Amino acid sequence: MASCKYDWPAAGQRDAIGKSTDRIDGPAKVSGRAKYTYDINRPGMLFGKMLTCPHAHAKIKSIDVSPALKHPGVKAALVIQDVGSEIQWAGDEIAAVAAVDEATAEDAVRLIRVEYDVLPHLVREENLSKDGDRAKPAGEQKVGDPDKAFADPEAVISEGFYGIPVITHCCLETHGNVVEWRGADSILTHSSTQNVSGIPSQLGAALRAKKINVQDSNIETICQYIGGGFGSKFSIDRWGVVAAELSKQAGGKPVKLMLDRDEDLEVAGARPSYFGHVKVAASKDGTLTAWSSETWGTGGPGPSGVPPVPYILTNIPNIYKKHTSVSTNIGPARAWRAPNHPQACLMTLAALDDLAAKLAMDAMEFLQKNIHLAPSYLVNTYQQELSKAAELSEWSKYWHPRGDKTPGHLKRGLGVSLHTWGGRGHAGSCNVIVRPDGSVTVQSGTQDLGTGTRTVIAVVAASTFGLPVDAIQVEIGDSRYPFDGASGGSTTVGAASAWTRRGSVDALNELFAAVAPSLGVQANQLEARDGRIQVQGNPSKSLSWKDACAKLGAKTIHTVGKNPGPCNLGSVGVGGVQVADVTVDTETGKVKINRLVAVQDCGLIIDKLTAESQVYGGLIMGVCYSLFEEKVMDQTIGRMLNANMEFYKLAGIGDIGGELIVHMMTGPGYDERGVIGLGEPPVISPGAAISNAVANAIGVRVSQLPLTPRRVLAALAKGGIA
Amino acid sequence: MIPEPFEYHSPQSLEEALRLVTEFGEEGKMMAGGHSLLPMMKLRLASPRHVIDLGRLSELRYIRESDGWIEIGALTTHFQIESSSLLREKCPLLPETAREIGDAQVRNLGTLGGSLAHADPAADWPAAILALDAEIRANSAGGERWIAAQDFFVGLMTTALAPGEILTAVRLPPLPRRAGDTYLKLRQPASGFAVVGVGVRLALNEAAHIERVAIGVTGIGPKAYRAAAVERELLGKPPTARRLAEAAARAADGVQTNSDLFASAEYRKHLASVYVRRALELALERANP
Repeated sequence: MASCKYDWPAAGQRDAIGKSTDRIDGPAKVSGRAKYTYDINRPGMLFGKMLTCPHAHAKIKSIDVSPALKHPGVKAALVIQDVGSEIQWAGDEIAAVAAVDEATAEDAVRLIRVEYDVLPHLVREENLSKDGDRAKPAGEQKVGDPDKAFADPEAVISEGFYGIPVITHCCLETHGNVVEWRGADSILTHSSTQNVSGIPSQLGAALRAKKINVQDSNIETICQYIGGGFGSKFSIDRWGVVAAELSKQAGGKPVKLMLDRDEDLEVAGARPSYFGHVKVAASKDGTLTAWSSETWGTGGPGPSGVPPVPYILTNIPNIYKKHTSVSTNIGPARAWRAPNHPQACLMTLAALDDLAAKLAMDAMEFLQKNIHLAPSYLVNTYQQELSKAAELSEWSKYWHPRGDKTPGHLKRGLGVSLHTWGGRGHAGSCNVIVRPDGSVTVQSGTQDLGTGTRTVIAVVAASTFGLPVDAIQVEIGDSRYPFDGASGGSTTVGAASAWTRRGSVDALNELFAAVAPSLGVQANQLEARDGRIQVQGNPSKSLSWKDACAKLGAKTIHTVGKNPGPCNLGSVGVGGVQVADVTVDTETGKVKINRLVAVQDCGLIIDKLTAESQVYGGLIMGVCYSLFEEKVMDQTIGRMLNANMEFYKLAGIGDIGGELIVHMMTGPGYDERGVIGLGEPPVISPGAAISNAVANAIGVRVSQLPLTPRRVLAALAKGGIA
Repeated sequence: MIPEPFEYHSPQSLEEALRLVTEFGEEGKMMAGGHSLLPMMKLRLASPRHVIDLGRLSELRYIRESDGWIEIGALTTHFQIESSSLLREKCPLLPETAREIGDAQVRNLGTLGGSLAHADPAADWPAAILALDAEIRANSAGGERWIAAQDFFVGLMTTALAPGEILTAVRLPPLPRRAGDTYLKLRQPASGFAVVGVGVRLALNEAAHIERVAIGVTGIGPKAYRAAAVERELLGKPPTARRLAEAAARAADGVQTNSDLFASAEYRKHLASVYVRRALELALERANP
């Protein structure tokens, strides 16, 4: 029995919770009825375009937007960054216009005159010795006595260089908004955002700073569907504020300002790079004794994040680490799905894999032997997951010591990695409404970034009320609904499941109170099951849901569900293990994925189907950054060379090649932890797992991602089995 | 993404098409499947005043065998070639090439003639027809002529077609006895165009020596070409694995090599050798009874 009134039901009484439920908005998405911000067209709408800076580093000497303003069809024009502003990356926004159509806006932007003083730039940071005073110390730490541990004559030591370059988010829907004034003091935005409830206060503050008076409460933001964010869409962004200003100048007319693909790739998201030399030591039996790393990376003009190394095995007794942050003109960094983790994971798990190879140990055994160095609450999980991953990947059948010795140019290999993430539900809230006609609505100013928010809400409410999932009306994606946190840090499902549960339990108790007299029992003797309100254990004394709700008379139940709140509905900290099985063509350098195995824990699963989909999505995005993605910067011109989808390649389904095998850890030991977020963890391991599999196949480490044919052939030229 | 304004014409016969082509001269552009021209117009890399859509000329959509040749009409789609049982039997190289082009939607609309006349340096058909010693028919107001494939590709997106001529058909000899052919390709991962594409037709004589070999290569240089240096190394010789590999190493000899972010010139040259060798090996395997 539940000991706390909001607790999740016990196993066997969970209804739809934990089963597979199709996304309730799936039909709208596949039929095109779902409208994304890019699809929004408002009456009288104008099109906004921005003039951007062609230089990676420059100061604005003069600017004149008046020729644009005089251009026929132009309704507004403004300076975004004025004379004297120092521009830190190519593609940064300088001025903007709004015009009656896109072509006119584009023509008008070309009429704007700007003069720059061009300043020296740095856009390539992978060679630290050339980074000069752009490189700044970003932390140094020592644990135990690493010098002594490395000096131990019995120690087996492996040293390597590893790297992962800047990549961009490349959301399939580019960033942007449609903004309009409703009268003199109210604004409506349609925004491609993962932060519906947070946008009004951001926009209000930005406009008030420009002496445009508007109250946050008079700003409404709508985002029903979003085509990807991955951490890059928390902010209204400068272009959103600009759209509001242009709209104001044009008498309040709606202004659509969406970035073009090249703009999006250049400025709207960069995941910091991470390069470094790593040295690891183990005793001859394979027990890890020491870690040493000197790493660097760039997050654009600001400081780069500091990836947490050694990853997972944080209790290695002797550790030295030093990080340097390189300030560059590549564009501003944004959070990318599990910030800093994929980088730390590659650096650590590749170094450990190289050490295992040097010890002539099976990589899986090596991890099992050292997993006690992980945080204690995850050790059991990892032990079970490593075993499960070994079983599902048929590790003992396909793994071999480094270098596939079979003849021919096709070499097969296996690699393993593991990862962790937080994922506690964020603070937020919802309305739960139960009407006398039996209809049920849950409303929240949350959003569905792709994690299946609507479906999760419907499953939790339906399972609490004993109703089918399609009996629940879910309304989200509008800041007029109760506040909910941003979808970042894998926090949405944890939050939405908890506030829906609390609000629904409260609403159900109100309904019980209204119904109890007519069934002749106390409210606390009632339960909701199979579409009925019944006396516990006595289905013959019951009312259908509809008849029960009719007892409300003229009263509508309206509760507010919150998170955090009473009872433990969620937790934090998941573990996952992944195995990659690849074939490398040693003549062309092409890497083909045969299989990816993902074993993942996320506490109590609400919807198994969307949970598994998160893992599939993580694996596919992982293949993208492992094999294809890199923001290629040219030091001479200071610009991104591949700001298009021909040379900024994302994996299509044909590029995945092989089979994706997903196993969710559930049941005792997992379910009782409650709900934990899952959006980020599965994307962390693919880089290391695939890199390790390639090393296992060809007998030599390809030191940097992505594992392009050029890099694979270069590594083979230096060594390997071929 | 919006083309400049243009006039659209849809001739109902070859005769009418030839008249329009002559009338508009430099200001006119012929369109077959539209899969190369329309994107170029949207990007404003091409801005013809008149687009002459040949799509209604159904008399140019056929695959047939006559007088010892296989003849294919210029408007035959990639998919029609891919699925032709005649070609699968008598010239497997062509369906194999078609299968490698773009995706299903592209193959349903794009045409053999359109692709050849466009002469994209990374298109697949040029390598295939070079390997088959095909001939290309050009019609004009003055009559028709056949152009050998080797003479057809002049340079980057430039062919031997004269102003006023329309490419109407391609003909090629069917696969002889003791011969094999194939087309192998490494795709650019995003666009699907050939980083390298190699068509090979190879015939053996009674002594199992190489009697004839033709190798067409695309994706490497400004235009598709015959790997003549490789062919010379092989003609009349027994096809040992070592000889094939040594000859294939000369696949990009003398070719001015393309380079881009995905594949450097050096990598392309390397791929040319690898793919020529692999294509030779496969064609040989098929030639051996």
